[in-house]
Amino acid sequence: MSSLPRTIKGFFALGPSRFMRQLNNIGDTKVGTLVGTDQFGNKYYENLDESYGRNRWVQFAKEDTYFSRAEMNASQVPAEWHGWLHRMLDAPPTVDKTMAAPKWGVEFTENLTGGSKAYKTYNTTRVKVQAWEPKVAPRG
Amino acid sequence: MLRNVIRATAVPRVQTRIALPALARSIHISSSTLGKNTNDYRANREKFPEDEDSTRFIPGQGPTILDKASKSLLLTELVRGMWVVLESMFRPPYTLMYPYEKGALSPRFRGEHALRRYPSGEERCIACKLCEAICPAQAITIEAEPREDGSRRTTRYDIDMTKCIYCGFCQEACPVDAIVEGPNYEYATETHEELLYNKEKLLANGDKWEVELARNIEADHLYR
Repeated sequence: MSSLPRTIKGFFALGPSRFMRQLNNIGDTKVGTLVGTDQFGNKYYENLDESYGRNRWVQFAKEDTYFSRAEMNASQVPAEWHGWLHRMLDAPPTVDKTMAAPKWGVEFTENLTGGSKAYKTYNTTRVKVQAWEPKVAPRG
Repeated sequence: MLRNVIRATAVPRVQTRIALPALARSIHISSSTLGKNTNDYRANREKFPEDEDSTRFIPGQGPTILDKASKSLLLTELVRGMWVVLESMFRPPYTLMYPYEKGALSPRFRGEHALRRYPSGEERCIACKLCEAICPAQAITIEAEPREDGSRRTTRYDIDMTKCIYCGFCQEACPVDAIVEGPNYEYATETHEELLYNKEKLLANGDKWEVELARNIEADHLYR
């Protein structure tokens, strides 16, 4: 919960730029330690003095700023950081190196619905029913 | 009853950790300090020691009509309820600012489905159709054929995500840990069609989420 003292403290701790950015997005001023950055530029913060559930958060690379329109999406958190942000794991992937991606792993994509790259279902089997092509004998 | 009330106010008992103990005490009088007149489980336990959780009603031991009348006339339950509201007004709210902050999830969370691969890259699914058989919503459709190298694989593995009830039986039934329900729940779509997953989509999900899928299965393997 944001209160006036907390907001003022946040202003001096964050600086005017990040202060405005957080008020535009989270709607609160949150000060924490930077735990890491993922391949998309999303930044992950932690402050264990916050109440449980609010102690880990993400600053999306594509969130609303004065220079860019907000194109962020909740599904932009990649699989490596997903478990840490959802508090399934204690250690972030920068510390815990057991979460190495397999060689055949593909690049993480956000939920692409609504765009031209959205998944559209299709048949993965061969066609089993052959359409009947009528042949008409010529009439004499 | 009146004597009990007087005794209760004279000998304060710490009931809550809230501020203003005097007010709290006056609120809690009727519920906690009726002594012998209460049909209290502790009193019952003394009377029926063999019955540990006794909440039996003992005739003559329950609240008298005067107790009940004083409770309702003094609105004690109402005041206690309002006190809870007042307390919570001074506590920080539990609101999460989604999607910047996200709720805690279990490694056993059953979200979007995925088909996994072996570390070599070979797909795990052997088309045994146990998941199709156990699926209570009949959301899974499988067709299988021998592959060119002779191994039996699916040619069709469709899941209708709008039929699925997310019970996790497919995951339980799978002998090779191929079909799993992953930790992702952010796959809402604009159209129904996008939720009719085929094999390619499920394998792609597995490739995308494998780091976390493997991690969650590892976290849970001691309980299986």
